[in-house]
Amino acid sequence: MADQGGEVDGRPGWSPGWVYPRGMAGEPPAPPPSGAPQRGGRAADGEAQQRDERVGALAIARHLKDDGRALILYSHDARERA
Amino acid sequence: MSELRFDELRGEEVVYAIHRQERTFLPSREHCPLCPTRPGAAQTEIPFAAFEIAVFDNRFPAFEAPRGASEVVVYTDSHDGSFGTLAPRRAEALMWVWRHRYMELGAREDVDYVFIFENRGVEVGVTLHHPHGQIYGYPFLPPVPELELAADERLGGCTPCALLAAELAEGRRVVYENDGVVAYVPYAARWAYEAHVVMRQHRPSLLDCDAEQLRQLAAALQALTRGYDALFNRPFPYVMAVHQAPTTHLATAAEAATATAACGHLHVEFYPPLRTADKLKYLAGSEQGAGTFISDTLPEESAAALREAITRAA
Repeated sequence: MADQGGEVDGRPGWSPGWVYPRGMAGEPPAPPPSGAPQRGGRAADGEAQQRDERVGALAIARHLKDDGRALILYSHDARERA
Repeated sequence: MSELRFDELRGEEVVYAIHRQERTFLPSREHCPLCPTRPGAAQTEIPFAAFEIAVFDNRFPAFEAPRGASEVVVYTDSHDGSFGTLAPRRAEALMWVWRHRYMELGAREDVDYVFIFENRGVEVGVTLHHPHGQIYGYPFLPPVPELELAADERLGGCTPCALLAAELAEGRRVVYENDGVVAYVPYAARWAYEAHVVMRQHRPSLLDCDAEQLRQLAAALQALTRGYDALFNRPFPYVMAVHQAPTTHLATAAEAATATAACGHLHVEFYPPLRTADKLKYLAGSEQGAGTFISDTLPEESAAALREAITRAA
């Protein structure tokens, strides 16, 4: 019995190099350049994005948390409530 | 950053997110990270005194850019309650939020499948009691949606459409219906009170639903979850899983906004672990070792009890 890293009947046998790690289909996209807006242009430093963005009856306010994570607030806006 | 390893024996990915070991675990109400930030108190995940619905990047992500996404969706700034007890208008708004996140995450090249879900109850591993759900943007197509697509191939059409037609024709397992949505305990339910909430018309994703269909979906989900709570007169634990079309093909947000994917049919599956008021179904030898569920209950009998509970809770 061939060991798992050798050859079996002339075919490559199991080897850790073949089995692990196995990449996902396709390469991940390169991260955006530093400082570039992500996900529709979030505002930085906790400021809400100025663009009037909506989904259905909801207004969308995008923020960045202190540690750089995205925070999005959805709310029925004044026009909807009126 | 998580690590993915492919299990060749099972043919599936396993995600190692070891940083999640340190995530917040059942904090007291005073230290809830999903509550709004009260004046003079420590800052929570949401640095505002009030909000309606908040979505933020998970501090302890299973996936993160440039290989996927993990988001938390907070349904309300009230610490108490549940999806079922939200005001109907808020539940309807949540459908729009889901729709928006599906579009935005689905447009990312590193997201192949947008999975919206909620774990409710410590029985299914909840670590925060504040009403909330989660969204994972998988950088690959996970096994369950892959199986659903394979079923479409095998049957030569939309499987949820065919199953819905069969359930409506038989009727015994239907527990709720409105003009746009039907809920039933499936013929081959694995969990005692498993239920599927299915769009009547073929709608691959939330993007394909109009405002009225989103409203009807919210109404159906709330009717079911309220019925669950009424069933044993206790908060009913569940996993809620929103199944939609994969987003591999959605290259841009604009494309996502107009997409009418041919594959997938929007439906929401509920997996409640309770088999009686005080007994849990465990995934044991047959389920874990052989992949075959052994159920102690008949779907037809569960459906009758759940239907009555939904009526009682309405």
